[in-house]
Amino acid sequence: MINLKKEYQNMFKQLDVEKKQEEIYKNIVNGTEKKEKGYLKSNIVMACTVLLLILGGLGIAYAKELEKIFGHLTKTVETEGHIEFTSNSFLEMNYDADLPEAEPTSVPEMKATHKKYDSFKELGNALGVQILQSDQFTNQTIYQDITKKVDGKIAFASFYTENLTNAQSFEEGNIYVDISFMTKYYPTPKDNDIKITSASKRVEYYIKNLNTTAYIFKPSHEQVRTQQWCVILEYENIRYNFTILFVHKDPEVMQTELITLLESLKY
Amino acid sequence: MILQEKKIVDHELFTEIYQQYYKDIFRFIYSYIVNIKDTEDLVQQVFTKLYNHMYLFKNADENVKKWLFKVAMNEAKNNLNSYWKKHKIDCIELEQEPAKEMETDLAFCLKKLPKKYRLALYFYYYEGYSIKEIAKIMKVTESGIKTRLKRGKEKLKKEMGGD
Repeated sequence: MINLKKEYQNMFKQLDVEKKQEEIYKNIVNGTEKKEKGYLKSNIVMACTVLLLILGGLGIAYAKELEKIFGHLTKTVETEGHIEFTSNSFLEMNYDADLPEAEPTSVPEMKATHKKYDSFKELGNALGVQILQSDQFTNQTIYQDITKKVDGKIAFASFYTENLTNAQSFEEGNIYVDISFMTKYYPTPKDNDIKITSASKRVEYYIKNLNTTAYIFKPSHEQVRTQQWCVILEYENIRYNFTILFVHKDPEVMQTELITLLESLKY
Repeated sequence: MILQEKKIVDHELFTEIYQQYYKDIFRFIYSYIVNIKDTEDLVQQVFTKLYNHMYLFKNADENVKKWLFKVAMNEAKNNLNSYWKKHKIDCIELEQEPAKEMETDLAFCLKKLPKKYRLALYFYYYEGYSIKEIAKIMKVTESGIKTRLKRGKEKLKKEMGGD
């Protein structure tokens, strides 16, 4: 009779678990992480440094406003004009799902050929995954945007929505979301960065229910009449990129509505 | 991240958490990927993430441990799923004979076991978590965990030549 607990204990007894404990601790607190796997990033770092010099001054005007709205609730992070979100996560899904390859396009005729789903649930069923929803999303029409396949298997896909709130007029504000993911078939790992070059500061809001952090920031190209906010979060290896438009709203109301929206996300 | 976040880290608490859970996280990752070198790398990645998210925690309680397990689970899965890994692993294994003398029967058999069973088995048989707790951590239904445990145990027994 095999006693698995004993087998595990035996396995760990033969491992020198503590061998690198001190070294790893020093690496972390001294900020000297191992660099062996970092060479892939060096070129990106160089390119982005140049971008930083160009964009360094942009968006600073929004910093105070952002802090005023969210500062007391969240962690505020200075990013000096450039934000980059890197994902190394891969979604486990039905890699053979019926999703034709599609390129992003602004041509309406081509866009019309992209697949349409009437609800997040329908999309989730088609992909063999679960997708976050909210009771606030009264309109869940979602369209395929980009799909890349490798050897016939889905490697990357992205979807976009209409206004999720079904608002009757623009005055009521709008919420959109782009949903995207990579799978294990994605050919170049660590290449799924989203670079927001026009925001100078973000706040991080921890969504307790989901045990994940939402990154909230304000692009600098907003129009005078509207307040546009972007929220990026990753959950279960799927990235959600919200765009939220408020019209003439008090900062405190915006904060409450945004937080309420984030807290309402669920399967 | 290209730009480092401003870090205001409670070093004392981080050290306490690190000392308390380092071995747990090491064992957990090893039991999934069964490779010492990669385990060391991933343990560092997990605790680096903790270091950058210390603002989430006020003490070294069970919630921290569960958070660390979740991060470790994602890092380990990503490691095994990475394109680079999949294409390099064959070459590495061809170049160097695995040090089988260092491996226990369990480690050897875990490598042969489908990886989806490894985490559930570790949580249940080593950490002593209930099916409900494992389901919550792994975000799988309780019946899904039961199935993984049953099938994983059967396959392990078969591999280890037990009854």
